Order: sequence, then structure tokens, then C-alpha cells
Amino acid sequence: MVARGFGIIDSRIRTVSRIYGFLRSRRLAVWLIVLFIIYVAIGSIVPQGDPGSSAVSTWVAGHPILAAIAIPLGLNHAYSTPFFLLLLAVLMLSTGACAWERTRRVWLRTRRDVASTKRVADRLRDKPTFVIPVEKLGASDVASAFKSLRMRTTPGDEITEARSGRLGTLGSPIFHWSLVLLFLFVGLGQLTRSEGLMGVVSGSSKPDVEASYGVLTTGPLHGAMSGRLIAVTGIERSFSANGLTQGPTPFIELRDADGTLLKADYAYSNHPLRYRSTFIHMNADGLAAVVSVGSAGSMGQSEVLIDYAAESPTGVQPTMVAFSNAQGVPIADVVFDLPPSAENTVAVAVRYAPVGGLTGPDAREVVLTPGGSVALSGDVVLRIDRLTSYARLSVVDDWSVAYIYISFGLALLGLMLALFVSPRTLWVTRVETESGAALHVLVRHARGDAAFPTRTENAFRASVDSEGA
Amino acid sequence: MTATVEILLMWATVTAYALSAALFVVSIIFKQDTISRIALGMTCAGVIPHVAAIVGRWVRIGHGPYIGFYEVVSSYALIGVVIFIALALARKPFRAFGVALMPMAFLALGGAMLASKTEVAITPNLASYWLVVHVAFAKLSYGSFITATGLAIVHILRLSRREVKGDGFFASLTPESLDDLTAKFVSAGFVFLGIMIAAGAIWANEAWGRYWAWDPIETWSLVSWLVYAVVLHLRRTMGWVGKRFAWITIAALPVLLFALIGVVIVYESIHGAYLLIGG
Repeated sequence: MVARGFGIIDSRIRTVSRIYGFLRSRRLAVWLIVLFIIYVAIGSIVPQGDPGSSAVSTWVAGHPILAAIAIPLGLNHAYSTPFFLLLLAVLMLSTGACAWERTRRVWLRTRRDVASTKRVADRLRDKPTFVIPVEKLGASDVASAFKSLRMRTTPGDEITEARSGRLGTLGSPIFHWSLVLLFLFVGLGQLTRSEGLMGVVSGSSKPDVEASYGVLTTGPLHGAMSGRLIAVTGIERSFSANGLTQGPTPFIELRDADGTLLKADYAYSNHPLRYRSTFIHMNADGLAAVVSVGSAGSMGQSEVLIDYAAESPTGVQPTMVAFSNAQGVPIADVVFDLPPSAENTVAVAVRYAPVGGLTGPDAREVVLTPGGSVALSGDVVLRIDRLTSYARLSVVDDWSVAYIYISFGLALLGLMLALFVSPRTLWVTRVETESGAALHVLVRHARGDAAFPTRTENAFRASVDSEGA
Repeated sequence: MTATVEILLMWATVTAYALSAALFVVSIIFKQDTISRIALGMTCAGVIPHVAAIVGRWVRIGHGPYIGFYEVVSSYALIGVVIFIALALARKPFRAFGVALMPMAFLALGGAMLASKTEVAITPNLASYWLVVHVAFAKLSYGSFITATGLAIVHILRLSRREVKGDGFFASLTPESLDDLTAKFVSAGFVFLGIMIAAGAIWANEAWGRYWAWDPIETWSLVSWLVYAVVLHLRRTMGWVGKRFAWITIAALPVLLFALIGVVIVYESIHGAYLLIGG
């Protein structure tokens, strides 16, 4: 029973060891990167989006043969397909295994260095990297050779040791661990972030809740929206910053649900309002109408946002609004639009009809200025109270951004250490033989500096020659 | 500096680079050290009007050379040539590198001269310090990779003449030193390209609220970075040194050039404006 239990454990250890061996393989790493390159290059050919979106449908119409392959494969959502996510997961595991392997090696090397004095002495005597016969060589000559190689020396009783670039050994582990962190933060960030567009009328506010957004994308693990209030106190039409006119610029206030001011600032290009993990960018501006609808004595007020450009993202309420009477029975559909004449900037075009009749013969159209009204049905009246503008704000909640920057920064630091700081060690001793004295030199260096042994030999020979001269 | 003076300076540069390229080829064919010296002098003579034209335009229009094919490619050519001059002055044998780089610089600059030279004012979206970092490191990385490719070409030429003795300045240019230097430039380019991508991501987050959107040029910058990651991986962990390393370094360049020029022509991208404005 016990033996069988150990057998199962052994078998599991072997399996884990095999998987680890597979994942840490350098060949696997290279092939995974190549596969990633090929996949994202193919993915870049296909516009990303739903098949119904204008970019994808235009591409499908222009490339029917390619589209017949790409769309069924889901390449219009190339960077969220199960295959791509699996590829990323394996790449992350492979990077993690490589990071672990490299860390283990650095650790083993450090331990070996501590306990290697005798082995170094043996190798120096029996198998040095090179030998320089010398008649007479003082410690100062060795020191000058080390100096020319820019190495720090530690003189010993018999062996002189010199090292440089010790930090270089940490480069590769730091790089690979940072990449693992980068994968993790990007992945977790995508799972928990939210990003949406909301239109806020100048002089009013909206809470950060799902209903306030025209478009909202949330990760599957995103919790509840913050509920904070996002207020646009005003929109300056010609705001200047950094010596440039920024165009319509909203002044935004971010308040806690209890009204406490958290942050207030202008939002313009390259200058979002930022509070902890929340970024609020100015996306666009548009015309807004504050309207009242109802019968005499029971008018209800609401805000209608009008997108200027039809092709721009719908970050606002639809411009078609269904109005109901006091009993809640739908009575009319109304479309609010820009006035037909561009010069008439203080008016709004209103197209209205009984429910479902906007495209039929009963549809009517009027241009209303503030204070103007139109009877929608019976005694129900639509009145334009005022025309103003709104700011379409991009609101992003993503805690991972700072951690992604830090991970990538660390990865670059590790990369620089690995690529440009080559760890080098030299051991030198004087050996007396029957044929005379000789300098035995043992060189150890990283792969990044293959010419180091030759350079070392040249430096020592130069020292000896200068001594001879 | 007026636009006319700038154009005249640029044509003077193109002429100098063309002559320099021709002289470097002649110096290699006829193994004439003197001709290579003249070619290097011609290169230096070409850099002076090149720098003057770029600085003059910068001062006149108020932003660095990063909007439009003309500005972008001209500045890349300048970085490549300046790196070459620095190498050639530091070590005489590296003059041989001119035979690979100067024709590339001449063709790039000639192509840039045929593109539109429309002057585009900086827009609020482009007014970011991160853009300056992004562009500066883009130029450094492209300059490094182009230099690495030039060195790899010279390395392969040198290997084909390994047995030839007294071969002009080729003789003192050992394949090992060329291999080492190529690797150093690939490494530097890789780090610079990484910083460029990071700065671009930070800028995108500041400008649009997202650090990565799989925009074609973002994707191809990542592809370029990963291609060079493979190149370095093959060298450092799988022992691809010498001729094999030189060949993969050369093979990687077209991917980089496609990311720079091809993507904005082939794809619709928010980045397209930087290269195609006025074109």
C-alpha cells in the first residue's frame, strides 16, 4: 500500500518534471515566439471587430476569398480567440519555466563560487585558459593587466581573483520574471478593467453606473461600477495648453457617491483626469438639448444628446427617444438632430411620429429653438428648454496600468543587464615549473562576450612585454 | 531657414551620399585605402548639410522630424550615417561598413526627396513628451538595426575573403570582431525598440486611455521586437554565431522596414498619418 503510494508520487513527480523540462526548453521558447509572430501578423491583416461593423464588412466585401477563411476562424477577433489565449498561456508558462531555470542556475553558480577555491586552484594548475611564461613578474603587473580590463581584484595568498559585471548574471532572471509579471498583470487587467463612453451635459453630472454609459465594455471579473459622480461643470470652446489650442475642453469634477470632491481638472489631449485607477479622457463633444415633455402642469424634463458625426462611436443615448404619456403608454418616437442649416447653431431638428411611424407618411419635422414646442399627440407637448453642449467622456478603470509599466521597466532593466553587463571572472597564479616561472590564467565569461579570453591574453601579454621593456 | 534652402541642402546631401557610396564600392573593389578615406570625407561632408536641413526645418515648423515620410526617413538615414562615421573614426577597418550603409542611406534619402515635403503643424494629440521619447528611441533602434545589418553584410563579405592576405582595410577587420559588434548593435536596437514600444504605450494611454489596441503598426512593432528577440535567443542560447548570426540579422531587417514603411501603406491605421501626411 505504502509502496504503491510512493509509486504514484514518483510517477507524478516524473510527470511534473517532464512538463517542466518541456516548458523550459529553449527550442520551445523560440518556436512559441515564432508562432506568436506568425499569428499576430496574420491577425493584423483582418480588421478587428464584429462582422456587422463597417470596417469588417468593408474588408469582407473587398476580400471575399480571404474572408471565407478568416471570419469562420474568428480572426476578426484575433486577439481574444481561444487559440491565441492558449498560446499566450503556454508562452507565459514557458517564460516562467525559463525564469525559474535561470534563477536556479545563478543560485547554483553563487554557491559553487563560494565552495570552489580548491577546484579553481586545480584547474588553474592543470587546465588554465592560457599560460604566459615569465621570468620575473610583480603583483603590480598583474594589477595593471586587471586595470586595463577594468576588473576589480581580490588578492589572495596564492591566487588573485578579479571580477566585473557581477550584476550581469541577474539580468536574464530579472528579464524573464518581469515578463511573467507583465503577462500576469496584462491578463488580470483585461479581466477586471472597464472602459466606456458616457455623454455628460455641460453643467450636470452622471453617476459611474452601467446605465450612464452609451458603450461599456467590462472584463468578466470586473466588480461593481464605482458609483462616483462625474460632473462636467463647463466646456471651454477654445482652451489653450502647452502653447496649443486644445479645442472644446471640459472641466471635470470627480466626486465620491456622498459628494466629496476627489479630483477636478480640465481633460484634453494627453491630459486625462486621473484618480487612482480611473482615467477620464475627453473623446468628443456634441449638441445637447434639455427638453420637457408632458401635458400642461405635468411636464417632465430630460436631456437628449446629439452625436455630431454619424461615424463616431455611440457614446451617448440614442438620438431617437420614445416618449410616453402620464400613464406610461408610448405615444411618439422622436429623433433629435442637428439643424438642417449649419448656420442655425441655436436650433435643433425634431422629427416625430406616432410609435413606429418615423419612416412612414405620418412623420413630421420641425426646427425648434429654445422655448419652441410641438404637440406630439393630443395634449402631450415637447418643449425645448435650452440647447447646450455635452462632453463625450471615455472613462477607463484599470488598476493594472501602473504595474504593467513597472514590469516592463524591470524587464528592460534586466535586458540591459543581460545584454551589456557581461559577468567575467579571472583567476591568476604564478606556477614554478622546471622550465621556469609561468603565469597561469583561468578565464570565465558570459556568452555575450566571446572575445574576452583573447582580450585578456592580450592585456596580460602587454603587461609582461612592458615589464620586459 | 527657408524651405528652398532646406531643399538645396538636402540635394547637396543626396549628392554627397551618392558619391560616397560609389567611392566606397570602388575602394573595396580596387582595395584602395586612399579612396576609402576620400569616401569617408565625402560622407562627413554630406552630414553637415543634412543636419543643417533637419535642424532648420525643425526650427521653422516647430517640431522634430517625425511627421511624414520625408522627415521620418531622412532622420533615420542621418542616424545611420552618424553611427557609421563614429565607428569609422573610432576604428579604421570599419570604413568597410560604408560599402553596405552608404548605398542604403543614399537610396533612403533619395526616396525621401521624392516624397511630399508638406509642413504639418503639431496637433494637440502629438504634443506629448512621451512622443519625443517614443520617436527618439524609434530612431535609435532603427539606426542600430540598420547598422547591425550593414555590419552583418560586411561580416559575410569578410568571411568570403578569409584566405585573402593584404586585403586593404578588410584584413584588420576580423570576423570575430564583426560578429561581436553586430551582436552589440542588435542588442542595443532591441533595448531601444523595447523602450520605443513602452513609450508609445504610455503615450497611447495618456492620449486615448488604452495602452495597447492591436493597431497594425503597434502589432508590427511588436512583431519586429519579437523577431529580434528570436535573433538574440538563437545567438545566446542556441549558439548561432558567426555566419548564421549574420544571415539572420540580415533576414530580420525586412520585417523592421515593413513595420516602418510597409504597414502605413498597406493598412489603415491611426499611425498612418505620421508617415503619409502630405503624401
